[in-house]
Amino acid sequence: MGNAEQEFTAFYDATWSRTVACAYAVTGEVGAAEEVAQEAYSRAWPRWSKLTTYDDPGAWVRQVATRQAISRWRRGRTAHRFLSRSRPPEHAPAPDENTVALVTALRSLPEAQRRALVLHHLAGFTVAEIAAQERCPEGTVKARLSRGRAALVPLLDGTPNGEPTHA
Amino acid sequence: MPDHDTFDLDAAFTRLEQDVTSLSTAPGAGAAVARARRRRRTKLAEVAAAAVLVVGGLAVAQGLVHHDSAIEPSSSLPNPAPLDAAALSEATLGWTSAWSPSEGEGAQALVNGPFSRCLDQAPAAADPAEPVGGSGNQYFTSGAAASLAILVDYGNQTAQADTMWQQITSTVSGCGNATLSGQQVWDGAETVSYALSSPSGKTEHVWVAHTGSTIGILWIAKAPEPVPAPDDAAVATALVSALRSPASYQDVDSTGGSSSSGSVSSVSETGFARALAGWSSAWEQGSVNSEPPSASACDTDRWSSGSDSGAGSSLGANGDWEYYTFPSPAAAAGAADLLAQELRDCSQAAHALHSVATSGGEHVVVAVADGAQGTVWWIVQSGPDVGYIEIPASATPPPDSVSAAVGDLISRSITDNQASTQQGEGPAVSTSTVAPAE
Repeated sequence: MGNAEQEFTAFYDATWSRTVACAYAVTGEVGAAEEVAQEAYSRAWPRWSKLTTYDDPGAWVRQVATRQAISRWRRGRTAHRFLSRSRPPEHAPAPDENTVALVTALRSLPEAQRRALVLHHLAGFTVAEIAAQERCPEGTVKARLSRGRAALVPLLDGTPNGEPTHA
Repeated sequence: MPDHDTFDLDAAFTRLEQDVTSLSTAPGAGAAVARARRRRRTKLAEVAAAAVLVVGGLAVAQGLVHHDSAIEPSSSLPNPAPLDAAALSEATLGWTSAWSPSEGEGAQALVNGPFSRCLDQAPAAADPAEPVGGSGNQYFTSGAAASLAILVDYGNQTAQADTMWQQITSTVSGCGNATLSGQQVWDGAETVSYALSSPSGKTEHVWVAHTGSTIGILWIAKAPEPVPAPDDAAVATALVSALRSPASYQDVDSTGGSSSSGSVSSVSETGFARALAGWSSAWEQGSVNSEPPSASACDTDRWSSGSDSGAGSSLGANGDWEYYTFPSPAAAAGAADLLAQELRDCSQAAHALHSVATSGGEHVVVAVADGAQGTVWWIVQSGPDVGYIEIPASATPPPDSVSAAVGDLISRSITDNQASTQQGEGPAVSTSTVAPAE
């Protein structure tokens, strides 16, 4: 294994959990999230020499994975297909009930709000970065975050804890 | 009931990450690398695939092209420039008449010509490296003459491009019907050209160029004989210029890899660029190397919920092309209407809609929204299928002539997909298993 592949392996191991979590927050299916995340890394490898020049190569992978997850969710066909294709039915441990509640609540939000919440709170993008990705004003992103959080409150039976944290 | 009395979203997401990590099994970096290496081009059409796959399988790079000591490197590389009809016409001035872009007329002669047969002599590929970008097949015609250019980029695998260059030139040099007709060396690029004769006495002319991680092949059939030496050199220079131009490449990974189906016929980036000619659009040609294209500001989820299948891919750096199949033409028409309504009612960017007739007798719905979140959509419904292209809006709306050309492009892709479906290839995956949440 060459140096580049060793570096890529270390990067993969260090960033996998966050990447698969971003995808899972959108898809709600572990198998689909794994597939999406793995696809993002497969795309990263041919560009690895360029990605290493970025401040945070993991952000690129998380963005690709999140977008892929959203795209597949939009088409509404991924989870069962990937579960059935990628692996035999298995009795995997069930997600924690808080996780299930959060993902269920997220999936009930308008897509733009869900995308903003996942990109900001999980993928770690700033409001400015999300605005650049979404080609919209920062105020729109803040509004989506605010409305999304407000919408989550009754769904999760809690009280929000303030303004966006990464802005 | 989960305990969310103190609702901290960051903490909730942190718990989610920890929970998913405990449930998830990472396939591993090695699997990701292997997948990237295995991935076959789906965007580059069959001729490119055949050529690259065949030469990619050569076992030994013999390096039969020897750099003649009399050939001195040129002082500087030619400027980057896409290889379009104008560039090819300028390069062949005095040899052929002007070239025009083609959708593949005359391609059969090229595909079955002596160059292809020469490449056929190479052993089959075992596991060739995968380009990360490519031009697709660029066809041109000039009277009876036909030309095909293919450019590929191996990304960070410059050594792979070096090997490929050796293998291609070795193979052609070894073909009995090939004669070396030209050779140029720059500081960082090189080209060779060959004349390959067929048993019927026809001659085909081939240029192979290499610079950095890129390889380009251009061949011309049924052109007047012989090739004047200045034209031979000018074509080689134009090919190197094209290799150096980022606009020459579309992202193989994004176009093929992001599609939900490897077999779906997509929209040609070069064809789309031609359709937009004459309009100052905000669409950016080239690969999605730094960031994926942004998502639309409008939520357009409901319209496709009744589809049987769907597929899509990025188009250039900031465009999106999607294609859905519905149970019936009526369902598709209803879905297309609903998509138009979703765009018209979009609170983030309300779109103005109108319809334009295409040359094929169908209609393309054009949806345009101004502003920072504005987008331009072209939507075509044909039979049970709906296809659309979405790009960012520009300062001016697209002229109807541009929209008609884009509509034709979408119609052709739909037709191609319908044909491939009838041939049993299956354009896309089922959407019937999971209904979109909302």
